[in-house]
Amino acid sequence: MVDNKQQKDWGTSYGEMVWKEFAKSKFTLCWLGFIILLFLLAIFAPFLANDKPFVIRIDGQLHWPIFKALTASDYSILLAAIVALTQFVLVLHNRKSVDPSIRAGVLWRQITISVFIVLVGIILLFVFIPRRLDATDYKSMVASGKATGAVFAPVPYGFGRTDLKVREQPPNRQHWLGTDDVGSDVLCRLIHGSRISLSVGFVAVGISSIIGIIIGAILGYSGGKTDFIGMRFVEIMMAVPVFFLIITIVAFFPRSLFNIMLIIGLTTWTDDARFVRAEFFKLRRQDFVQAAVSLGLPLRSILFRHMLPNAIAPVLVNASFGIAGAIFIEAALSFLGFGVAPPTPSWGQVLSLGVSTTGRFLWWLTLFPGLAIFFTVLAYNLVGETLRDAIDPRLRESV
Amino acid sequence: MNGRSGIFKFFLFLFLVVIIFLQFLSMVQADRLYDRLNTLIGRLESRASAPTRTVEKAAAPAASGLKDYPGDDGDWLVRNLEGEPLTLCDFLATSEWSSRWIVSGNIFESMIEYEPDEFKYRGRLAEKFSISDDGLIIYFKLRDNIWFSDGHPVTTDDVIFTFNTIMDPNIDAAPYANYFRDVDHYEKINDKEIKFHMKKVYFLSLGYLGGMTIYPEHIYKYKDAREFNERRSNPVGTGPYVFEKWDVGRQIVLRRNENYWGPKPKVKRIVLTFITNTTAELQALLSGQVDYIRPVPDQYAEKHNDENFKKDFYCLSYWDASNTGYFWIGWNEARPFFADKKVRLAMTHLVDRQAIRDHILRNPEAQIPTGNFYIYGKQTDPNIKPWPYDTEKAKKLLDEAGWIDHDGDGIRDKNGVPFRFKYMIAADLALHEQIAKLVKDAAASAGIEVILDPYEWSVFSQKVKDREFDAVSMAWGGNVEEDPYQIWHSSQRGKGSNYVNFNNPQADALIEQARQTLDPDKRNELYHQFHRILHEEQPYTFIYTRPEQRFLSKRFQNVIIHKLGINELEWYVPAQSQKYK
Amino acid sequence: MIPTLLGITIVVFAISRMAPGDPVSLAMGPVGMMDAQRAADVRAARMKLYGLDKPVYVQYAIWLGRVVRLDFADSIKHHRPVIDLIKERLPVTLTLNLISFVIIYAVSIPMGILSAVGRKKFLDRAGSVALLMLWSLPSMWVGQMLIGYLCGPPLNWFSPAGLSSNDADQLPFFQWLADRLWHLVLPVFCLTYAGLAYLTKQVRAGMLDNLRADYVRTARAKGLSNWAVIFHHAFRNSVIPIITILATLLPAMFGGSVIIERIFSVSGMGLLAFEAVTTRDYNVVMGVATIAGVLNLFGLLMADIAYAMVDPRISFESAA
Repeated sequence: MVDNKQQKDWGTSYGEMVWKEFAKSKFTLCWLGFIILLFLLAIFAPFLANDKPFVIRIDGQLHWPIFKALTASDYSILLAAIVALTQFVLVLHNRKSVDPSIRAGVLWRQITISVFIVLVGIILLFVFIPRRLDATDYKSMVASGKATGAVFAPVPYGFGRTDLKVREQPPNRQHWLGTDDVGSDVLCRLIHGSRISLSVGFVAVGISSIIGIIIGAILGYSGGKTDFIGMRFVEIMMAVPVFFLIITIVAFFPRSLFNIMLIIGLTTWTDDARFVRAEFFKLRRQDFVQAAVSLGLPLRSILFRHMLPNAIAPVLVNASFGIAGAIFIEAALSFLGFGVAPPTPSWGQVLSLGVSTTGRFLWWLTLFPGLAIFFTVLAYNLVGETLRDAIDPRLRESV
Repeated sequence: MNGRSGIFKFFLFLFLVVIIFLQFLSMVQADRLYDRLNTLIGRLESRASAPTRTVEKAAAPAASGLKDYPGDDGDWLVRNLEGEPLTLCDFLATSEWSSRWIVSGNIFESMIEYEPDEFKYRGRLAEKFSISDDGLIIYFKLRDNIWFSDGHPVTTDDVIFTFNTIMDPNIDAAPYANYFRDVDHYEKINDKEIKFHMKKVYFLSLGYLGGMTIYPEHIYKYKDAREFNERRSNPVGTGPYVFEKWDVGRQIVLRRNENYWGPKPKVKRIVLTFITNTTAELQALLSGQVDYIRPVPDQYAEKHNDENFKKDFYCLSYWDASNTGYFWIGWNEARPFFADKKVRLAMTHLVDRQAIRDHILRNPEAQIPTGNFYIYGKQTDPNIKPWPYDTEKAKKLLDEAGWIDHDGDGIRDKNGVPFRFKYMIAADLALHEQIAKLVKDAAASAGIEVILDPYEWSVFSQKVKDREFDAVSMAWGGNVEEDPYQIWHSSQRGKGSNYVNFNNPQADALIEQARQTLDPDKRNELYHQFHRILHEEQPYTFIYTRPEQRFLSKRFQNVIIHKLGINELEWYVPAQSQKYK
Repeated sequence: MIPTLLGITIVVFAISRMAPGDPVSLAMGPVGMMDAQRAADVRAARMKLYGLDKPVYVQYAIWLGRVVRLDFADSIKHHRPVIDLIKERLPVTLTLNLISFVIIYAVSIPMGILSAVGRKKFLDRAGSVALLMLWSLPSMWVGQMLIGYLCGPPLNWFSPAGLSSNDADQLPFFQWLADRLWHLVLPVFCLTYAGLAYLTKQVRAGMLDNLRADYVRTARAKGLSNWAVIFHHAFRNSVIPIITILATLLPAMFGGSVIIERIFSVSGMGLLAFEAVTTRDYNVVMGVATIAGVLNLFGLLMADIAYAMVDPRISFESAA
């Protein structure tokens, strides 16, 4: 039996190098931790803030209301989280047991399979999990003694439940962060709102990155007439006022989170395209590219397997800033009233309630969502900046 | 490379500096230009308003029989409007109430108007008016000593000109012309008397014709309709104020008509500003920048209890005869959910209207209407009480209508269709959104899933017109006395304003009969029956109707709340408290 | 330039027409005062009046024909020439943006240079994080808080709305100017702080890049003074990102900042375009888009020229 503990001396890969540089800043690591915390918040939101109890005994029978009421999107998020975690573990495993020359290919295959599983899973979940409605007032059941042994979530409120009597109350013992204009609990809405913000960030940036990479790669590689015409097209996209484009399109399509993500993605790819194009300009003169061309490799392969890995760095950095930007845009849209349909919670929407029409400063409706947006955006910006510094070879101390 | 980039940067810098300087100059220039333009217009105006005939000021009040307003002369009233009007011609603007406020009653006047404290008409420009017993002839006699602000006397020619202009198909006044399509022809008797012959009897015809604001023919006559359509500013009329200037984007200024035929108001100028942001509007009031605003319900509810605020400002709350509308949720009867009236009634029982009034409007004077008429008017049946908030009753009604949760998913269904509908609202209207969220929550407890469907206003209007909704929330404006035909008659279902497809032959008959009944008592009796039908059928869930609210600086005196509203012309500021010269 | 401009106009035109609703129905509103047939007639007549009954591509051709003659037609909502509307609003937006522009550049370039040159690591890092924080503040949050705290009683430091007080036009020039500036402080502040942070970082990053380069070491070794090194060498070469940003700031400028304008009730281009989009005032939308597009392209062109002039590495020939 081969002793795998025998250290295979593969040296440090590019990814490891970047990570080491990145990890040098403890400050940024804290913020990375904050981002992970946010993710956990978003994934487990229905368990953290819910007006239904985990378990309750009614007439002797045990019921599990929270679990019964989980929707297809809740399950999808859990599925995506599990798959992402698995993928992460696999990456670590790859570092130890897979030869670096084939590591990239293995990684690609793993990522493709993961994405495939997630997508198929989401589709199946949405098809098979029925939509349920459970508006039973469990709290009053407990209060009146009809039910016993109820275990509620830490924040025992639903984000859509209204209670006009406690409208616009500042933070107190019942509502730790206060209530909004129809009496919904603010903390609950912020927790569920993290889902919107984070998912908008990722999906929108994912879409814009993919489009930007493809277009940038083609333009950067071809040069000449293709590049000229293509750049005119890119300039058109850059010159169209993005915000108005978004508002017009949002008005056109029905209000859904996915539409907003799609629109933000479709309108912000120009930066990525420019970066990739610039990188490809510099790269296409290099020897390894010329070699690949003379070998007769297919264009797709040259672009994406050979050139792209070298050009991807600015895209990754921009992705981090892009996520921050997407969160900003979503908050602005919700603030202006063009975001997701109510009562879906969104940080921007809660923020828009912050100053009441009387000029009375409802500080808890301004401060907390503002802080949430601020910290999240700050976290992504910090991570992006540290990542950029980590990738920059000139800042690296000699290995 | 060295020298190049240095020179380049230098030029870039210079370029920027030059642009900034030019920008600065153009700002100054633009303002100077506006000033010059305004003074020019002002000069033209004053030339135009120089009386062409001597004005017998002493005679005027006696001739018109109108009382003088009390108080000291002077000061300005600075009022904020929620939006800038598009034009100051009041029949070109269709849904712009702000321009109506600005011009009707101030710059232009109509032949008749409502008494301030009774549901009766009285003459303004007209001395006598009547409608024949068969309702087909309407007669007006103009006062003797009335003239436009330039001194030109008012005659029936001006009335005829106004009428013809409205009816001219090339003039962009089609919605307003709609009110007069029952007119067969007019008959000018002499310079002061005129008769209108109607094609059919309609109880509102007198009000419509008499409510026309009279435009001076000698100023507004046109060869090409475009001239008139595009004339958005410089209105000239008979009223107590004349137009002084319009700084687009900032303000409109009206100046007292020193040449007015009737009792002159005491306030010398009216300045209208357009701060749209409601918070900024309130701040402007508090800082003294404006004197008179229309607050939103939350603002009123809060300031109403603020003793400090009330030291400097009035919190006015009054029922306005010309703006007696109500807020409603409409259930589209063409959709499977709401065809059955039991379901509609159930929905009404699910909306806690009392809580809306107490917590969202926070206005104890708001009322829950039971029908479409003005709640304190004669058309409404005072014995009908609103349905109570009762979730259990709602559930029972739903059960009776056949909507039962067969498959245990928490949502009621019938014939395989789950009770899940889209509730359409206009985005960016806080009140609509709050009420919608309330309805959604309440419906969930009854096993109905409501999906909120917000659209921005332009799309929203289109969808309402196309009847593409399950449920919608909107508000109608109203009058002290109105005709329910356009909204409730079955003929209006396709393209008219009957958006919820209400179709009740009994109601139709009542509406048609009432239109032709001139005797108010008989007519109101018919309307009481119609009201009862609406109450039973619940095509809308009527949410609230509320009085108008205003904040006004306390330096204004003689602010009286009449039964049918307030009259800004009565106000004055005592000399020692006057703010503007 | 022209094809790009045409492209922009086509895109904006197509999208604004695709959006449901049209200005006529909107202006008519869901009015309960008219009966069915009459309403239909009124609507048809108005559509005809504005030429909206023709097929879309015909409408575009007509519009194009007019624009070439610099006739942007009339706003459907305001019944006034679009050019007039733009002429009224543009100076406002330009004022706001140019002032913030100048402040951003005047403050961030020296700040960026200083922070790059400064040696203390902690201050350097802290400064960088502070800038990032400034950049991450949502502008609507800041704007709202400023109005809430600074504009009403008890502080009353600034005006809550508008660009001039009521009786401003009665004041002599300098007082009028002072009044204007007083009103401008808050909106300009909200527009500036984000750009400030961003540009400072860029300048700093560019400077750092260059300060570590070999040629700077050579220059220092040659005995050049620190000042000369910083300005004549390092800074000149960090100009590229600054120029690029100039190009991207211009589009932001002429779109105007809708949120700021809305919060402070300033009638600028941003609000004009926003209202035009929401009321389907096609002519205004196209007018604003065209002018914004022209200015954008101008900015981009300048940046590209400057870019190519300054960096010899980039060439535009096709692949070998």
